[in-house]
Amino acid sequence: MACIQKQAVLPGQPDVTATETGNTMKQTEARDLSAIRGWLMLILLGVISFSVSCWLSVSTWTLQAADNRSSIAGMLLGEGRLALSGHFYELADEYFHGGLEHQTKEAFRDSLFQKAAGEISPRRHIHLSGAETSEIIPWLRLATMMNPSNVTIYLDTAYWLSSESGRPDLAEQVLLEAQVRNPSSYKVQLERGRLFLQEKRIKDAKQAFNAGLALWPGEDKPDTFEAKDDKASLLIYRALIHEAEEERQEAITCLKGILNLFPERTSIKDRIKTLEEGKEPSLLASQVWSDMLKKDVQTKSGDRCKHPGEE
Amino acid sequence: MDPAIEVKDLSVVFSSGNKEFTALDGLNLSIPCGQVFGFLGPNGAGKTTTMHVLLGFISATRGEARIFGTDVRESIARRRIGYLSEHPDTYRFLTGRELLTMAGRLFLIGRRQLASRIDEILPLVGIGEAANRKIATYSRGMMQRICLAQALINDPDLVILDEPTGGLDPIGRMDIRKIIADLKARGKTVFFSSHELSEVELVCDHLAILSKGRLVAQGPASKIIPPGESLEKYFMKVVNNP
Amino acid sequence: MTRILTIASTVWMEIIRKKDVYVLLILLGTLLMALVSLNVFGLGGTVKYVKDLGLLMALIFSWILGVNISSRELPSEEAQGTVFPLLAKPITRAELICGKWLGTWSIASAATLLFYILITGVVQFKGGTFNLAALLQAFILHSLTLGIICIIAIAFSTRMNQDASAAMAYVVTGTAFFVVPRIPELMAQATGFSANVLFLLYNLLPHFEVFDMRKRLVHDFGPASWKMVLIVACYGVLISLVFFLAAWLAYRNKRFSRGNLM
Repeated sequence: MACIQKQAVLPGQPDVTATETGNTMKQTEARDLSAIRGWLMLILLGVISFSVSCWLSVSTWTLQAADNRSSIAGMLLGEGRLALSGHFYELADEYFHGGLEHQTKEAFRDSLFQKAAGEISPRRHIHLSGAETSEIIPWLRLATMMNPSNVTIYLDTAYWLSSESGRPDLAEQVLLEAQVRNPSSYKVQLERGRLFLQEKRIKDAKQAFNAGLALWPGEDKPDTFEAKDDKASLLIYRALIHEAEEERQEAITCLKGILNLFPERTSIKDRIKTLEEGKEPSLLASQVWSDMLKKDVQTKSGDRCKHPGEE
Repeated sequence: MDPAIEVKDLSVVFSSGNKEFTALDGLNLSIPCGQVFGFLGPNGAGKTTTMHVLLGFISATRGEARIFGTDVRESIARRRIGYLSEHPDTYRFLTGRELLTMAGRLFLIGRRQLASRIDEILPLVGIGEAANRKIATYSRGMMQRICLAQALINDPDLVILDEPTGGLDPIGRMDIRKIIADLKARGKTVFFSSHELSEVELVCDHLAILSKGRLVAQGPASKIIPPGESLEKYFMKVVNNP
Repeated sequence: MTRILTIASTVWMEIIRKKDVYVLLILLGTLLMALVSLNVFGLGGTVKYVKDLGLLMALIFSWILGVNISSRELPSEEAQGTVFPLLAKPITRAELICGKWLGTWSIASAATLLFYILITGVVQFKGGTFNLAALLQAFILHSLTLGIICIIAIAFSTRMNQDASAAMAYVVTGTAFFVVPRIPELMAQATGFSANVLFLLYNLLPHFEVFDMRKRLVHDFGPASWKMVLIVACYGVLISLVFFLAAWLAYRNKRFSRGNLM
């Protein structure tokens, strides 16, 4: 069999192949260098993004009350952050239900796909409790980062931290952040007052309720039931504190303020009458506010399971 | 013994919307084993279309084509074929050796046999140490050589080369001629198309000339060209006056 | 089978040398570290959100990887002209499609395995764990999802260029991921034409929700029954075969252009 050997370079002829090979080697080296540069850039980008994320999580605490539009989330995402905030808030609710979405009306109930999906990703109605509820807090944290002006998320977070997670100290910090972000919100002050009362910090509670009353109705309409009910709560807590401090006239003034909002509340009328007559009410002020705080917690717990549109 | 290539009344019609284009019209060819067969024609004559039919890339509209007696539509017909395309390109992320290994595995060649076959082929096509480098670093000529190597990896009985010397320098063209001569010496059949008529004259036993999808001339190279005429002149004559 | 494995190994070499997977792995690692560093109002011990977001990112990255690498295989062969010397060998077009699918699916699954290992490491760093049996089941079903995604992208790429086939694959698989699971809810209120459209989509598109075990993993529900996993796996294989058949029918008589060479 004849073998074909590579032709030798003739004298005087340039070794074209060798030159070509040399050029391609240089091209290869250049490509390798650019690949290494690419990797270094990628690693640098990773380090920068990690550092930015750490800075973001710390700096959210130190941001002063400012226009929400100046937040980084607002600058990066615009109004999309509101949708994200809502999504994270729903995820927190989903986590409370052990990862299960609210059941709604559905077609194809008996289809194989629905049955298989139900088996692979179970659908049971459960509620987390105790320390388990701490798992919903990250989603609430993300929701507040996306939309710091949504007071409801802060209030829910404070509720979970103070009640189920047993961390009233963290709840206080959350409400402090809420106050910084939403300085004109009376609801934050109401919740702070309730928290301080639970902690038996009467002086702080008094200040909080006074602030709430001063800020009411804030951006809400004053003639809605929710706004009037919140004001009534502020007034009743404030009245009870006045009573505990033997300031009867001030207590009566606050209670009369409630009657202006809800004239039909006979229990308020009775208490006013008792105070005006100089008698001791059958239930002491501290007993009343303890019962009210327990009822508030129960109401909130009950509200967890109201699923609008659920079958 | 079956001819290496047998084409009977082969026609290929391409249709695009309402328009039809006849790429091949009633082609008849029979190429016995062991020949070096030159397939000539101007651009658009149907040379590559013929090769694509033989390789099973496209289906004929009419007629039949066989390779060593097997219908070209069956994949086993390609077991004994090696093919180098008109503009050779291959996987640039592979090294030369990896490419040949891949090509050999597609022919189900065993690992040991494949390794020795690769060692045999690389010097044949003039690729030495470069076989261990990525093909992306190869020059045009080296690319052509490694593509030719992968066409020969299975020691094919029929080698189909589409413009094998296109874009090569004189040294490269001489190497290709020597490879074709070596294949012929080993009894292989070479079926190739080229525009380099001088190259064709040097290596071919037989040739055929295609024009506008039809065979206008066919026969032994020494007899088909009238005495005193060059292949180039003859080519121009038959193509312009079929 | 040897030819299919040979084609698949070529796909492996291409993708590993192009470093797509490494980029996604580094990105996933960076995002996980960012998650871990999230200050959750000073509360420690929370790990489910890391699991949740980590698994979601693994799903999204593997989805992107599967579509991107699968949609470019066949079109790039044609564009570069490498399809001709490839099909000049005794390999059928069905074997070529199979080999390409096997290569892209296996590498997407291997990348997913790396993602899972990384996420497990980060979760353990945070003090959490995964149920191993559930994790194994989740990986198996995730891998089957990728198999379907890859063959869908390859099916489109038999007749479209890389960009078009990737776009179509994203639309189809994206609809399967995000819309199909919500169709039962939408159908409860839909009427007329929209109900018919929803009905068609529900029955024609793949149901990726039956492969999604993330909730089980995140909320520690434990493993699903192996019988159901097997049924879902059979469904995955069946869907893949349907799309494979479509790809083969589209590809078997395809006339190749001479790509970028002309």
